[in-house]
Amino acid sequence: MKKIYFFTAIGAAFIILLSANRPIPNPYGLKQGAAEIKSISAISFGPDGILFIGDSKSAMVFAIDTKDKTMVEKATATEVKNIDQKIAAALGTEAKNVRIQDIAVNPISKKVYIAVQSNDGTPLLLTLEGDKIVPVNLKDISHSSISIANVPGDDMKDRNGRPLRDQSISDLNYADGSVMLSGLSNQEFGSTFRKISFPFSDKQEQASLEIYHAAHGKFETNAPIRTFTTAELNGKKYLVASYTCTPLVLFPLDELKPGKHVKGRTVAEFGAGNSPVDMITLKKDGISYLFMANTNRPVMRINYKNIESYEGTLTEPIKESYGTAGVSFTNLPAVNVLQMDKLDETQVLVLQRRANGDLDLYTARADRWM
Amino acid sequence: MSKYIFYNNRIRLHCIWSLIFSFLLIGCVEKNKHSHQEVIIQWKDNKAEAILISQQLFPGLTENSLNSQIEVQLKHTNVPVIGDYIRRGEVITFQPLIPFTRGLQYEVYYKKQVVSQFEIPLDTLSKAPTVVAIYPTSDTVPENLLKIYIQFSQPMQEGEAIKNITILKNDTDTVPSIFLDLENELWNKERTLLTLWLDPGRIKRDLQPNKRSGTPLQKATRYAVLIGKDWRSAEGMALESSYRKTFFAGTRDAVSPDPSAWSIITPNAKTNQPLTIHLQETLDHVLLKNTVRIINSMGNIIAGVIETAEEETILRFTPVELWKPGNYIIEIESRLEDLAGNNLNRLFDNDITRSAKTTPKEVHSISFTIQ
Repeated sequence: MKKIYFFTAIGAAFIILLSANRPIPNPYGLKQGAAEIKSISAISFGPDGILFIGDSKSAMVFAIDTKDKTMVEKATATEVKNIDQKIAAALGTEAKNVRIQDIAVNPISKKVYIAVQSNDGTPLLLTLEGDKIVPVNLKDISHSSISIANVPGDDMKDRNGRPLRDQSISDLNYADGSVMLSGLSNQEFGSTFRKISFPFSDKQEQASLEIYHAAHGKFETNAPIRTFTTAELNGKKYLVASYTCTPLVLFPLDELKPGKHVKGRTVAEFGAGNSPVDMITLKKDGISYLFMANTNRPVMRINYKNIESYEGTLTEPIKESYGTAGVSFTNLPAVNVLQMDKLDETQVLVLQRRANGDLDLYTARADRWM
Repeated sequence: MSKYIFYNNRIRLHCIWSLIFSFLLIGCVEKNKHSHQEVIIQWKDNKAEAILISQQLFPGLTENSLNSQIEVQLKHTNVPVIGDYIRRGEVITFQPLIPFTRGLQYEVYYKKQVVSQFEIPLDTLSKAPTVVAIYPTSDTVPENLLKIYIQFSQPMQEGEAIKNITILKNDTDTVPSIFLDLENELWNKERTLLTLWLDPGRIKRDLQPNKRSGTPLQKATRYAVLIGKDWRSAEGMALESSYRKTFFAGTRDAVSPDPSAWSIITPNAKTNQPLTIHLQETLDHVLLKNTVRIINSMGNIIAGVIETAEEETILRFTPVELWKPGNYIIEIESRLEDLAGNNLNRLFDNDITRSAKTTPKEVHSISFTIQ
């Protein structure tokens, strides 16, 4: 009998020992190894220091664990003048041979991540430590990935010999457990928008949507989204998207379902001859503002309250040349801004092409923008 | 005695070093003519992916000081190049994060002193890239042309398109920005085929850019696409020559392609003659190659090659194996477009107030028989 007690005790001790030494939880199903990334079109942070990488060349989305999770409340202001030249020098080449594809700030550590494409085709993920450029080793990293090559619902998809469609990922964001990305095919003209839940799984349900907005009366526009974000308006979650020629369009997130055609509501026209390049949301005194950088216009500030209260949809063509309509906005004294991200609650990281041609990364005080 | 050992060691080191060099030279590693003896460039796929440095350059080097005391810098930058240093016997290999750039000079530092320098030679042996074709190849295009493709002979550098392409109108005026300026250019995976969209906002009737600036191309106007020879390949070589293609903008195309109007010339069985399809109009070259498939009566895809001809008005399918007698189906995905972006199911410039087809077919089919 004593023996039984003895073995029970040993067994219990063993179970306790096992549970104490169980592997570190891996809630996102990531695997250590080389992330076979062929290009980096867009990057965006998700939960727990996970960075999502949109890879147009291999038609994949990667989730990599940066393991960069030390909380920093207030970020140190970052300033790197001629950042393209500094990156090029650290790579042993000239600025004309490298392109900054995207910039993202880790919302936990406030560290700056820079996606760079070298002209020889090598994709690089770099971080800033002070003004020192440090590479992220993608050859041995905890990661997972999912293909975006096939369009679900296409009845030819299971046949052999079907070529993969090339497409370009124009923007990528994470919200509420899903990675969302907008893209443009290099063959047929159409807008694709996908919502992929994370962690990625084999039984992935991807929503591939053709979105159109009846911006100008009766002619449908099936244009690709250039940049987007998500926002809660009047208690409901929306996709806030902008297109070439700068209409701002809202789509209810709960309507974005596989195979469904969703008609967006155009709430503003910010002027023709322009393309939006990036969007961020900042808050001051409980009021949220949308900031949008553009190719041929300054950074625009839009109060979300005005978007909430605008209930109509723009359907009439704008008569005035380069005219605007709908929700009001304010132009900020910042032109040629190529990338923006929130550094912390009070600071914005800005990549800007200066009037003299220099490409500078700097920190702007958010309160001066609001 | 100690002198003898020292001398002997020197000889031995020299011998090992020479052996390594000979081995590397035999092993298809090109020696840099411009470099000093101490540095050898290691090539892979015509890229200078690493350098091999003789340890003799680094007296007193220890394993721990490999990364801290050796630096490779691009000349005049004063910034160490990021990369990995690996020691193998008497040789230190330095592999930068991206290959060294041709035509640039680099320096090797040890304990903050320059100990060697080397230059990556320009490529004089490889062939310069060329423009193989610009699609559509036809001389006349609809005024609502939606896109053009540029086919190159080699992988090209990205981000160069807008500055290297000029459009001339009636041989005199430069036409500003008719293409959609995308942050990320649309290349195929091999980076040999570039897609350029003519600004769709200007093609769609009644959209503001269309009202303001009109369509990108105007009817009854002659245009020339000029491609500058500064456009470089992924390996850094400029185009062999500039390239010019002229075309004439004709009437608007507002009709979807109609496979039921296509005529088919069927080959004989037991040959591998091509199946020839006359499309009755110029269709999109790239989509033709990607949306059309030949299926046998068992439902299997017939392996073969699709080519376009006669200004993309003809599609030829040549099977890998000889044709067998039987019934076949040509399957065409509805996303196949004409030059104006009208696909099999809808017009690019779709009037949504008109009733659309209730259930558009994803795949259109044409049957044919091989006898």
